[in-house]
Amino acid sequence: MNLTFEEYLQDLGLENLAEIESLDALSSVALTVHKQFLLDLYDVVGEDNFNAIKTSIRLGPALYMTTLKHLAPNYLEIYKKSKNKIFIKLKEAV
Amino acid sequence: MSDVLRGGVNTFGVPSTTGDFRLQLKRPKAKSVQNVPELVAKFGEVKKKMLDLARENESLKEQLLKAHTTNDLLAQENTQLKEKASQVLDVETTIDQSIEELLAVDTGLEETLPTFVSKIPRPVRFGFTKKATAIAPMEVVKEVRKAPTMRTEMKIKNSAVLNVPSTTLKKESVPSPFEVVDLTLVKKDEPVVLPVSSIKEKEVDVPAPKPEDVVKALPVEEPATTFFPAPNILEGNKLADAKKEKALSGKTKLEAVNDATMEDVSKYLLAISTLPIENQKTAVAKFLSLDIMPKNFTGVVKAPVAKDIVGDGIAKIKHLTEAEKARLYADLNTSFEDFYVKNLTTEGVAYLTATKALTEEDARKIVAQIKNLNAYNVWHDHTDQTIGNLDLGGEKINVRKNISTMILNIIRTGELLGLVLAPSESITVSEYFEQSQKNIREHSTSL
Repeated sequence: MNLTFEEYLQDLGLENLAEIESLDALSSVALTVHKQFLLDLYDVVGEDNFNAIKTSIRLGPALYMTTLKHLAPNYLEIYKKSKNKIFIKLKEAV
Repeated sequence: MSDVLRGGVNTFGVPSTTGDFRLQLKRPKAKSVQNVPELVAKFGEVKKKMLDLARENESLKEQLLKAHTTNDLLAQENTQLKEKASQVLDVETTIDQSIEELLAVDTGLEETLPTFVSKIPRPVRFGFTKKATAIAPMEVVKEVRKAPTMRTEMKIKNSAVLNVPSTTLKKESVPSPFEVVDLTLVKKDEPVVLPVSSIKEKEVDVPAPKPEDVVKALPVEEPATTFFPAPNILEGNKLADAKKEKALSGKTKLEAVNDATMEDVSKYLLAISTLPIENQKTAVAKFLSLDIMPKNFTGVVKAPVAKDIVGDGIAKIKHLTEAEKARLYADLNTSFEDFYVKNLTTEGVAYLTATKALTEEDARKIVAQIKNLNAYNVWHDHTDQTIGNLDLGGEKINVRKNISTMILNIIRTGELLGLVLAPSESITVSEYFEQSQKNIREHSTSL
């Protein structure tokens, strides 16, 4: 389920942050989640396909998403799991 | 023609005084009439030979041409291979650097959490008073460091249990073959007599391990890593050596997901940093949900027509300032509906009227035509005609949506580049679409 910015803040217990800080915090969370996603993706697609995905990241979001769709059709599922891993850790820490 | 060849006489039949006398002497006497058939036959032979030679010459010419073409192709291929080699070497260098950096710095959460936690205001985080919070951040960082990191997780390979410290894993790794069924309290001095039935071997309940389970339990060897296709170029040996070294050093996925990759990912977030704060919030939330692109846009990238436009778009993006690029990306990242409603009905009309060639009424006509694509099926024939040979899974509606999105992108790109699109009053949507593409192409070649 796609949450809004405010819902993500609430989910992580960060709703009292100042606007700029909350943007910074969620941006860094987003990058961490994405890193975890790429790590998990590597296990699923293997090295060669992962290199293709890496290249597609450089070519812009449209090609990145298309490549993901073709090389890892269940990428949304993988992403969800990766996001949960990071969110659990973050909630524990906060 | 020289006198010698004329048989030693000039055009008036007078013997030449300028020719070579010896040659004149050697010159055969005038042919008699009897020799004519022989000469004709010889001439025929010579002619045939000449024709053969001409044919051979033509064939040689063709071969030469082919050779030239092949040579050109080979030269082209060679250049491409050299470029690829240099790219591969660049990537190699980047990977080497990243490996060095990765060895020095822990990754993942351990890396990000302290920064993340430090961003949280202390009272909010801990509910402490100001005095008490003075030491809080370090405590949290310590706690965070105690937690199993991604690196720890990496060490626990082949384990289904993630995020659990290795000590926990050890404890539960070997189950006891016995289980206590009944325990009764007895006095200290009394001999303990356990009923036979109180202890039973679990083996009865445990089925024999299946062969596939045994295979699963065995340590799984990581397959040898291969990084690049076999090099067949000048730098081939170097690459092969580098590949061997990498394979020996045991490259992991942590090295694959290096800083350069994360930098590429962070560019998506960077692109939205120039937007108004509310839009940034939406974009960050979407990024967190991996809603980077509208779903209906992704499939159409395969289409030649889309590739054309996307290619043009990328070419344009290269000439844009960072702020313009960010705007363009942001527009591409919004959902179709958002983009459609916002840009087409308001900015679309504004843009078209600003091109001078259109009144607001004319601009609205164009916009209305695009807006009603789905309702009136205007694009049905056009899309079939343009990308009819594509396997798009019969998603005609999506195709139409995508094409109209692309038109809007063209409009936006045109707007950003200051291109003047001047559709006339009688223009059809298809013509407008083609004209727009043509204008952009011409503009891109002139850049």
